[in-house]
Amino acid sequence: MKSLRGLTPYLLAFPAVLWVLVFSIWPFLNTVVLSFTDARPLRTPEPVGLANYAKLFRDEQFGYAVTTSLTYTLIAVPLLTFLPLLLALLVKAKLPGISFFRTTFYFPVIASVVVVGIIWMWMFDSQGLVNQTLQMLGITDRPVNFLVDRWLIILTAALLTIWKGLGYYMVVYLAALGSIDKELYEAAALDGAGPIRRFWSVTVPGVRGAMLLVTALITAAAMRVFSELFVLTNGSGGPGGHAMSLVMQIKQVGSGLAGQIGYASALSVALFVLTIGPMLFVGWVQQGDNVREGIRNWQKARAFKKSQRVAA
Amino acid sequence: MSARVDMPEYRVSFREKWQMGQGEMVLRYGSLILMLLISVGPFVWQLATSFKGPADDIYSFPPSFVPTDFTTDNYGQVMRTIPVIKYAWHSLIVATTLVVTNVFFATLAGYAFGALRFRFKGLLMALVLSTLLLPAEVTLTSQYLTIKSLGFADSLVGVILPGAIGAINVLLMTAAAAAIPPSILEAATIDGASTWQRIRHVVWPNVRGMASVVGLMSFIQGWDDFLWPLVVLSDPEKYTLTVGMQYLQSNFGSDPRVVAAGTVIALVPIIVLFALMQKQFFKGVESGAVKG
Amino acid sequence: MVNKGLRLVLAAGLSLTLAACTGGGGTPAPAPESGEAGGALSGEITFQTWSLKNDRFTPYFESVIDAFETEHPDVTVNWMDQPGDGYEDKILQQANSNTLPDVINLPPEFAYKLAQVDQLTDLRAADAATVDLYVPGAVTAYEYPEIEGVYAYPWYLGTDLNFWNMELLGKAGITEADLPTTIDGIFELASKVAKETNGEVKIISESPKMGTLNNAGVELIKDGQFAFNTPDAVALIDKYHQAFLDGALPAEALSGNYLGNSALFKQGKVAYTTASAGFASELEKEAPTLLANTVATARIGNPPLFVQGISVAKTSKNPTVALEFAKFVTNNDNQIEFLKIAQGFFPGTQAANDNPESFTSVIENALQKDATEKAASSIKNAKPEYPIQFTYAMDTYFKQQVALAVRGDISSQEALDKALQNANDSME
Repeated sequence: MKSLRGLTPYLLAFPAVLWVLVFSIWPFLNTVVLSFTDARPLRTPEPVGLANYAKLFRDEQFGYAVTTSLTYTLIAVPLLTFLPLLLALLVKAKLPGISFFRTTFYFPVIASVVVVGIIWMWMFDSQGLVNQTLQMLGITDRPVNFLVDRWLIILTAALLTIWKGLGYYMVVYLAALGSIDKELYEAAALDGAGPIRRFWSVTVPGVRGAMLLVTALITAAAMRVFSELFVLTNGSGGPGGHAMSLVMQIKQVGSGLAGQIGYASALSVALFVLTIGPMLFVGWVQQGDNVREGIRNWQKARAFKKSQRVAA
Repeated sequence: MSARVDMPEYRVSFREKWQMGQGEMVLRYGSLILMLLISVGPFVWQLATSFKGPADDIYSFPPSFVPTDFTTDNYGQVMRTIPVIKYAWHSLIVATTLVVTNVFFATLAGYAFGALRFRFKGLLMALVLSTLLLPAEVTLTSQYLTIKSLGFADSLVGVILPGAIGAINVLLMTAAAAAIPPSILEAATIDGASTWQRIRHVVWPNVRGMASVVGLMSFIQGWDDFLWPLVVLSDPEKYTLTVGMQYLQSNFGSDPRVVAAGTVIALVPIIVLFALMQKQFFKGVESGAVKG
Repeated sequence: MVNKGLRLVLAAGLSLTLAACTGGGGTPAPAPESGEAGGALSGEITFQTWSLKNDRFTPYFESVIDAFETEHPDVTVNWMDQPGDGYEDKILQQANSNTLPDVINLPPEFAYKLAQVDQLTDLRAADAATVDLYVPGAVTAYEYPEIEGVYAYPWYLGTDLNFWNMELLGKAGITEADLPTTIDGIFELASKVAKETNGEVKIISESPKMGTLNNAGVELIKDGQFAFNTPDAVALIDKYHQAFLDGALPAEALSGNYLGNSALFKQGKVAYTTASAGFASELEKEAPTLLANTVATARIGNPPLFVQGISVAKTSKNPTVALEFAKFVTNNDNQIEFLKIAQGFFPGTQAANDNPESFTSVIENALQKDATEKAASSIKNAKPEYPIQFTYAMDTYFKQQVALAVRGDISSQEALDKALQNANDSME
């Protein structure tokens, strides 16, 4: 009975871990293996050692792709961390008609990126709604080429991501906001704290867990940006392909009947390495205790085994 | 709706928001309406386009929201080109199954990771976490071969399987389970509750809010996914709605009216579902969170 | 997965034509009386088309299959159609898992990849006499360097025309008589019009791709190596750069996809585009106000040839029936009926091309009729736009580098050198 109880956590976690192994880790290991080969569709791959990785450093496009992905991440992550929180605060109040607003704010989340991207292209076009508005307000006198300049493309794509993600993360924050003790607000208000002070001293610490989670999710998703940039540039990645993200490059290099799967795999591994830094940091802050404990346990177990072996 | 906007709730909102003045109300509604325009505007345009006839120039500027040559033939074209109802039914099967499996298994794993102590927990969690970094686009072929070797190629089971337990969902449920005060769980253990009883009566009520989030996200994922069903399914009889939509887009790419009608058909069920469920959903999200 | 541009050319062009029409489909020709005894055939095969299932085409395919099944009562043909986007991935998936359909609609470059790995039947080896019935230029598109054989029956062909928006050009006082007939003439007109309308009317509607060089007569490949960085090519790209400086090329064109130029035309942003002859019907449907003021002229320079073919999988479990059906779908009578629906395209059989009235007589839209006739005269000289070794990825890289040169970030020579290097490096 006792041994069975010890097994419980493993049984509970088993299906999830199995799924992760079969549908994520295994294909990824496969990718790693392929990155050391010259794999192409319908052919038997030959090992080529580190050639694909050497190519990475000579590949100009790879440099642009890394810069694009990082810039995009730097724009999207902070905005998408805070704006949904503000929105959550806005729709949390039980005002008349609020459920109608909440529901509609969720619309962009449910729509497919492709459809939404087409609408955005139309809005940010040189004769589109945004440019017409800017010119009408006298902010610019000639159209801004949102979809032609590298940095503006990245910015527009980030805005699209934010627009589409607001509702999603708003909901995560709503769940977290419910757990903040209302008395904290009242106490802060009694202390004479204004709305901004209350936001920083009560709300933000209150949703810290959710915020770290959101940041982690956005960072991982942002480094993997594909659809937004692809749709906005018709798949071309802007002039010179300079606004092409890493995943776009992976897709371009590796897909199709003439795809260079080996090199695309090396790019995927590079993407993984580039993403893991910020993610580990976020994960460490959030689940640091568990990870550290896990490592300690593992070391202890090893030390124990060793001592036993020595004893024997 | 109006029945819900009664005085007590209104008073509650005042108490909750402290001294909400006239000015703040205006500011709040102003922001709400601005957000409404931003989030819904594009869809209204799409809806208008779907009713436009051949005599309406769709590229004209400024965009017109009222069709002058009103027609419902675009919907007819969609219906004749793809069996919309059948595809929607397939999407519904996929999305609903994903909701059930994700909520169930992610809750179990979340409880284990968030509230229990066991050896290798850190390692196993890191394993789950790491999958968030792997772009699914590049592992597609490997995944397909796995599904094929399991004998599920060209079936809805094959579409469902890889997404049945999402790493993100496990993570969300772990966060929710970690927020349950240990004292409650310990009390239940001392009372002699079995693991199953603890999950059913202690964990579940506490993580229900997050479970609503996981459920809705899973549904959307199942409903919106395109690439994977396209790869797995080869028989058009088995397509899901998004693949059918893409089909439409490529066959009528030059006629945005028909594509718009298609997207409206794909959007309406999910919007209606969400509108119907939103009360429970948001209530679940708020009340499910742990108090104190 | 969005537009795969290049590869979609025909599929997209075709569906545009079809979406435009509202009339009923044609009736397929009855099966030829002659030929081998049909009763011997039996079994089940799968037939896959690319993006051809819609109001316009479904009845046609259903009756073609019906006619074949009536002729061979023991045969069942299952028709499958794949979405336009993602077709290449789909084919790859099917080839990988050994589930290629028995009879497949393939463009030359997909067929090339499958032929290289021995997945398609050599149709010349299977039945040499039938191959001779098709247009030789189109058959050539399915013959590959270093591989013996023919890997598809040409099914339908297309080429490009020029389309001009006379209403916009009228703003600069240009009439039909002023329309250019040389490549240089286009650029002169573009700069002149841009200056006269202060940049409002733009003529050059796309940034160069590989096909642009081919169109201008640049030799793309020499002794199995790409060699397109010639002085002529540099001069051509320089002209695009000058057009950009003169305000004659819209910035959007720099990141447009393959069909970007015709989309810009439809939106009234440019006054000129190249497009397949079916573009006229497309205008009728999508931008009806433009139709009356649009004029078509024959393509300047080397006209491109687009081909779609019908291949037979080597892995077919029923190769005799598959081959018979491939011949049936592409036989003269069935092609003519097909082209009555696919207006603006041309048949792959010689007999039908000798008698164009057989499929053009049903066209009603005046611009469409005019365009089809002009296309008919250039299709005879049309050649594939790309050497078969050239891939979509190479073209993407080419367009990216050249777009930079058009914008003036790098020199034309540098852009072409880089694109050349990339193309030669990634050749197998």
